[in-house]
Order: sequence, then structure tokens, then C-alpha cells
Amino acid sequence: MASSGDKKEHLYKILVIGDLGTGKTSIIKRYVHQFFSQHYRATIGVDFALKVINWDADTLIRLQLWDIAGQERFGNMTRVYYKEAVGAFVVFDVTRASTFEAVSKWKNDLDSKVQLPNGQSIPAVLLANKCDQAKEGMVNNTSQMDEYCKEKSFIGWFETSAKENINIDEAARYLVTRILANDKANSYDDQVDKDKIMLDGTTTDEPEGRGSCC
Amino acid sequence: MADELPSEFDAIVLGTGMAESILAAALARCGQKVLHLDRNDYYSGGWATFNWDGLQRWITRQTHPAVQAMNEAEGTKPVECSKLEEGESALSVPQQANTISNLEMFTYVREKAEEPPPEEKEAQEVVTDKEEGQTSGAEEIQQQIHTTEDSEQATGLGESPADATPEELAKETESDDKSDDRCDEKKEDSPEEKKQQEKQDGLEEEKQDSQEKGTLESPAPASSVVQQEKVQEKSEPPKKMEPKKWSMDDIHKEWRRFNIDLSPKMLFGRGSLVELLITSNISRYCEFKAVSRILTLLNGQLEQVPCSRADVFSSKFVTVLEKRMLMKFLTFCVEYEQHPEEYQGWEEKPFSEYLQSRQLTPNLQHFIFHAIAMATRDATTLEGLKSTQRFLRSLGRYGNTPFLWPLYGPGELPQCFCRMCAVFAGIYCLRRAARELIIDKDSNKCKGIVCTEGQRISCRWMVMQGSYVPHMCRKPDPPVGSVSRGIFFTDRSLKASENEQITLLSIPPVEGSNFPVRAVELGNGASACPKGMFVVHLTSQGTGSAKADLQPAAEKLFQPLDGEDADTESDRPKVLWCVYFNQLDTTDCDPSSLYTGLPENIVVTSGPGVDLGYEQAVQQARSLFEQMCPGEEFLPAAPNPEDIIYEDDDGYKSGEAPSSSDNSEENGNDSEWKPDQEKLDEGVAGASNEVSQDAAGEGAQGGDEGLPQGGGEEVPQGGEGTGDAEAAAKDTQEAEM
Repeated sequence: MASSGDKKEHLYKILVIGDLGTGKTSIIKRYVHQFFSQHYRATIGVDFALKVINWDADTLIRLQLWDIAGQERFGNMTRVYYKEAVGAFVVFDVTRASTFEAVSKWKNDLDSKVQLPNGQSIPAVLLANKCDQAKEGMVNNTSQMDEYCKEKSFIGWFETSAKENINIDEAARYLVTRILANDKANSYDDQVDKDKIMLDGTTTDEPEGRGSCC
Repeated sequence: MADELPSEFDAIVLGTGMAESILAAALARCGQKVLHLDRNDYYSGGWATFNWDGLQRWITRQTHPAVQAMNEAEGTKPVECSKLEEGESALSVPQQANTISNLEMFTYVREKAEEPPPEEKEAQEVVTDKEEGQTSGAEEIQQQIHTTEDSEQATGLGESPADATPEELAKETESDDKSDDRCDEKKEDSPEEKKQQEKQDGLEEEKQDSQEKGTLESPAPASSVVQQEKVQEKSEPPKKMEPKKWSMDDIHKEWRRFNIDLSPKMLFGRGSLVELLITSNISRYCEFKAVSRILTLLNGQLEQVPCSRADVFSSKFVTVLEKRMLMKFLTFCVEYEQHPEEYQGWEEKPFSEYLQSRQLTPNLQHFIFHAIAMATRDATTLEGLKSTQRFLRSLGRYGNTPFLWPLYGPGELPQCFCRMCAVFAGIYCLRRAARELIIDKDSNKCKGIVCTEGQRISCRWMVMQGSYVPHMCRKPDPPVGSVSRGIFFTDRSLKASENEQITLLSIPPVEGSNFPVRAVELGNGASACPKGMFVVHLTSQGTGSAKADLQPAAEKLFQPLDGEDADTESDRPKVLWCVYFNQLDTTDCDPSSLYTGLPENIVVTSGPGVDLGYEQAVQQARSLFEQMCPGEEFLPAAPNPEDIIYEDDDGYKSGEAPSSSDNSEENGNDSEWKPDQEKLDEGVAGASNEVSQDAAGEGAQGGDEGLPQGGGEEVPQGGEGTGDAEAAAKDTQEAEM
């Protein structure tokens, strides 16, 4: 914490899930780093990408975007991955209908693994990625897609292109708006368990000496 | 979700238990290509933590007759395999763990909530489990039911329709429709006395707390006295809370709130797992709570063991003289190796006799032997001193006791290592395992596996948990041990206290037994169960069936389990539900005593074992890693994602920290989010970080992508597909977000 102490800051964890090759990593890179490359290899050694948003004059938001990074790609993510997430993007590839069929599987998995503190499912936005290319299947029919989202309880869907930078910021803003509203209603910060201990010394690590002997 | 796996790996790891997961992470961390499989649909194998539904499914699987038959028939000779090449043979891999035996489950509450009004009390003496009475507000009567059907229904919850039918479960439940009536008037015979006692308890604890604080925050002794007085003033006698009357229905409804552990282990505050989590940076994935008290059973009463200096001084069970004796002895134990003269000649003699020889009072002997050393009856002096030292050395780092409890259960911990492995490109697949191992006949090396989907995958190394070892490679009648485990849901804490506690308790060996029984009590605060309920884990070295090993201890802690002679006055916890089982334990076995003819590039890990801590698993993973990757560093610190700078659009080089004047006013906050350069350098070292624009620098002008800088081979080619006006427009938009 530096100069602007009165600014409210939030840290939110957002999951980015979906089948292999649907462009999850590209979306994150586009959103966080503002560039696109067709030559990404799986992101190695990095848990999440951090995006800092000056939301408004009083609010600063740090978004952690957690990529499954093509690694836990068979849908067997560890609980560590889901833990404390407050929002999610489920990504499919409009050029491959099979990746759309997997969406409900990913959504179900998501809802079974993580919930908001009040027991509700976390807000999820469906991303129809690679929309700069020829589409296949239901994504051509907007009203059907709307209906689908309602049925699967997505808060909304966007056609996106990481390559052409289409709608990615909009989708993110939409999700963050919902997260902020949820936060306001539930005040996540107040529910922090004060007794929790992290080993890295951020909490109750007591002075040396006391422990050396009883 | 894709199906086909890559066909070549450096190492294939079977099983996601603790040692396998540590090893998998260590291998991925030093650049090995790792495939990590588990035949279960959950992580952590025998170390898993389940919610209620998950536990029910697990129980169902252990007792399913088809599974047991499969285990017996499986893999006694080489198999035919179409995926083999010239000069290869195949060994079939067991598809079930078969490490659990003697599973018995009991239900002691009704299926549905049911509180008959008082006037119907007589009629309720015999309660049939078919009854589904309405809930009434009357609190006087508590029914204790123990029926076959109840427990069957409890397990019928398994989601998968393919699961065993309820009849196949609960092999040894007996019908016992004894009701246990209990009146408030009786119970409240001497309310004043009780309140008095509670007040005392509450005070005592707060006193200890304030003393702790006093010693920590201000060295002046006066301040802690002041605090104590304050506490005394505001302390009100806590209201007598009647425990909630649970039904199985309540338990089913709250299924998500349970985290129930197959292996309820704790971390020593200065143990090897804590150190490893910190040095590897895996600690960021996990959260803990301090075990808040250690109890001991002394003369039939549960007493809090004074373990910290403050505890010793404030303990009311230790006289002033004893305090000095205890302090002196424990101070010696911390560095016992440096005072060999103090125990010369006693090394191999019984620890209990040694303590007697030290002129310690019986109370102190009890505290040291049972609560601190948690020694077996025949422990030698050297063993006892070592255990005592280990306990003392872990004191004072986190909280009030030497121990940490992992939030959401110990089953989380292997997953933390799995996540690290995955982040370093390890590939994970549950519900999939090796069907066969492919063995090169000439070299007797394992060349790879045929996985359960039929795909052939090659590898240089195989790591497997013992239960994946082909039967062909196991010795007959191995010298394995077992762990006796019991899990009890109860309606109140073993020892009531103001704040919910995480409790460790070692119950001295019963007559004729060498082994103490370890109890761990967890509540809602440890995320183990719903509010108002407690989960008690009993663990001991197995000498017979888990039930036989643990029941004597259970009888000391809980209201009578069988419903006979129920002590209606008892303040002890009432057991709502419990399960007993034995876990196979190979932690003490040399691999050569268990396996034969195993290819040399196959390494085998053990299961959880009986120990309280994780030293064995960490040690095993480390030594296997050294065998596989000699000279490589074991789990060096992983970079912290928050320390990676994404450069802003003006394209700062990662080597030169941007000064604040470089940022326009609208980015005045930048400095807040920039980690200091020192931290960054640490983070970057040894990892392949990508570094590009600074995420905080949204408002900065220009779509001109600075070349990403970074210390790794993963640096993408900068500026591709961007650098246009649109990107610049986006940037501006984001600044407005």
C-alpha cells in the first residue's frame, strides 16, 4: 500500500476453462498483455496472469486469471485451482462444435467444485472464441444461444476473438461488474477467516526464540 | 475434453498420494515431462479428504463384492497384449487399491428428524426405524437408535447408480432399537456447579491467551496482568448450549460441509513438509489453522496439556514445584544430544522408567510420556527423547501447539503439489491408469504403459504407489503392517470451550496393548463438518480389526456406543455415526521385502502409514528424486506470478525498474503494484517467465508493443498482430474501466 490509501482495492480470482485449443491462453494474453501470438506454447511455470484495473476513481481491482494452461486439461483440475474463485469464463471454439458440446460438462464441473460463500454458483460468462472464423453449430443462432445460457445459468455470452481483439474487454467488464455486485451484496472481505495461516510468514509467524524451547 | 495423451514422457506417475505428488512436482520442476495418472476419480488416493457424498461413495467401493472378487482374481500371470513389440512382455496393473479392510459402519441417530412430544415418551421406548414422525419442539427426549437400515440408507446416497446396493454394505450392523430418554431436569441437577466450572474453564483459557499476548506483544509483565483483570471483569458464564439433535437427514443435507479425511495427519511446525512448502513456494496454494490445544486423558478426565512456556505457568494442573521440574526437563530435551551424561546407560531402556528415574511426579511423567512424546508403551529412552524433542522444536512457530492442520483437510496437500506439477507442464488424468506395464525382456526395464484406454505411452521412469505394483512383482506374505482408523461424527466437543478448538489427544495404550490411540477433533472452524457437529478421528497402529483396536478408546471418550447403559448425565459427546477401517501400512518396509523382479526404472512409494506427520513421505520423495535425477535441485522456489512484471506500453526493460516519473499521472498507483526489483529477480531466477506489458499501465499511450523482456525461453515474439490503432483504443477503454 502506497500513496493512495483511501482507494478501495479488490483481489478477484477468475477461472478460464474450456477444451484444449479453444484459445484460453490467447484470451488471457490478449486481455492482460494486449497482444496475440499464434505461437504460444503452454504457459509454463505461471499460475495465473494478473490484470490490474483502475475501475473507477475509488476502486482498484486486481484480477487473477487462472488458466488451466492445457495441463490439467482432462477436466481434472485440483481443488487448488477452483478454490476461492469468484467468477469464470468458459471458452469454446466456434469452428469446432465438439468444444461447444463440452461446455455444459465444464459448467457442471465448475458448479460442483466451487461456490460463492452464500452457496450460489459463481458467475460464469460463456465465450464463443475465434469468431473471426467460420462458425459451426448453434452459435449461429443468437436467440438459441441466449436460451442456452439461461438454461445452463451463464450470466451471458460473448463472441470473442483474441486474434482480432473483439469483445474480450467487454466480456471481462461484464463479468467484473457482476463480481463487484456480488461482492457488495456478500462482502467477501468480511468473511475472511482471521485464524487462517499461510506458511510464507504473511500471518502469525511468531518471533524466533519463543519456540526454541518451551 | 481431449482423450488422446502424448505418447512419450520422461516419467509416468501412478497414484496421486503424498509421496507420488511431491515427486511428480519435483520432476516437472526440473524440466522432466511428467504424466500423472490416478485410477480413482479423485485426487490423493489413500490420503484423500471427502465430503459426505464422496465418503459414502468411497465406502461403497471398499465393500462392493464385485470389487473384492476382482482384487482376488487379478493379475497372477503375464497377460496378452496387442500393443507389444518384439522382445517385450506385459504385466497387468491392479485396477483397485485393495489397501482397505475390516470396514464397518454404524449409525446411531434416526434417519429423519423426530422429536416426539413428552407425553408419548412411553410409546417411544421401542422405536422402529420405519417411523417418520414429525418434528416437534420438545427437547427433552433424545433417541438413540442403532439399526441396520439406518446405516444402509446412509450409504445409499452414492450418486452413481452402478454403486453397490445398500444391502451389500454395513456388513456388521446390528439392530438395536434402544431409546435413550433424557430429561433436561435431570441433566440440570446442579446448574450452578456447572456454570461455575465453565466459568473457570473459560477464564483459564482466556488467561492463557492473554498471557501469550502479554509475552508476545509487550515484554512488560505488568501489561499481561492488566489484561487478565480485564478478562475477569467481562467474562460472563457461557450459556449452557444444548447440543443439536442430528438426524441422518441433516447430515445428508449438509453433505458439502464435510471434509472427512482418510489420513488425518498434521504438520509439525518445523517439520520437513512445512520447510518444503515454503522453500518450493507451494505454500501459496495451501492454508492452515494452528492446532489449538493438546489434551490428555488423566485419571479419566480430559486435561489440557501445557506445552508452551505460558501454558506451563498458567496450568492449574501443575504445582509450582512441578512447573520448575517440567521446565527444567523440557529445556534439557530440546538439546538432549548435548547432554549425553543425562541419559547415559538409559538409551535402550524403557522411556517410562527413565522418566521415573528423573524424579518427575506421576502427573509430569504422564504429560511427557503420553501427551508430548506420544510414545508407545515399550518406547526406549532414546525414542522418547527424540519424540519429545521433535514436539518441542516445532513449538512456537505457528499458534499455541507444535502442529498445523491443513484447511479443507490433508487431502488438499497432495493436490498442491499436483498443481505445481501441472503448472510446470505435467499432464493430469484421473480415472485413468496403466492397464499394463510394458517390459523389455532383455534389459528388464519398463518401457512404458498401455493405459486403460488402450493407448501405448512410453517413458524412461515409472513411479507408482505400492498398490499399483503388479501382483507378479509382489512377494507372498509381505511383512506389512496396518493402521486402524475410526471416524466419528459427534454432537459436541470432547471438552467444551469458549472458542472452537482443533484438538489433538493421545490416549495411552490400554491394558495389554503397546500402542496409544491418537484422537484428532475437528469442527466447523477447521472446515471438517457443519456447525454444531464435530468429527473425531481415531488412529492407532493396527493389531487387529480397527473396531477392536479403537473401541476401548472410543468408550473412554464418548457416550456408550451400544446404547446400553447410556449415561444420561454424561457431558461426553454422543456419536451420531461412525466408520472403522484398516489401512495397509508399508511405510516401515524395505522395498526388497515387498517386491521382487521389479524393473530397476520403477520406483515405488508408500501409503500414509500411522505417523502423525509427513516426514516419511517427504523423505521418500526426496530420496527417490535423488535416485532419478542425481544432482538436480529438489523443488526449488517457483516464481510468484505476482512478482512478474508485465511491462507497460512504453516498454520498460525488465532489468530496469521504471521510475515513477515515467508514468503519467493517471497511473499514479503503479508503484503499488510493482514488486520490488529484488523480489522480481528472485522470482525470475530459474524459471521461464514471460514478461510483457505492465498490466497496471493501462492508461499509457500508444499501441506500440515493446519487445517483451524476460529471463526465459518462453519469451513470445512481441508485437504480433497488434500495435494498431485498435489496440490503442482498447487501452484507453481499459483505463476507463
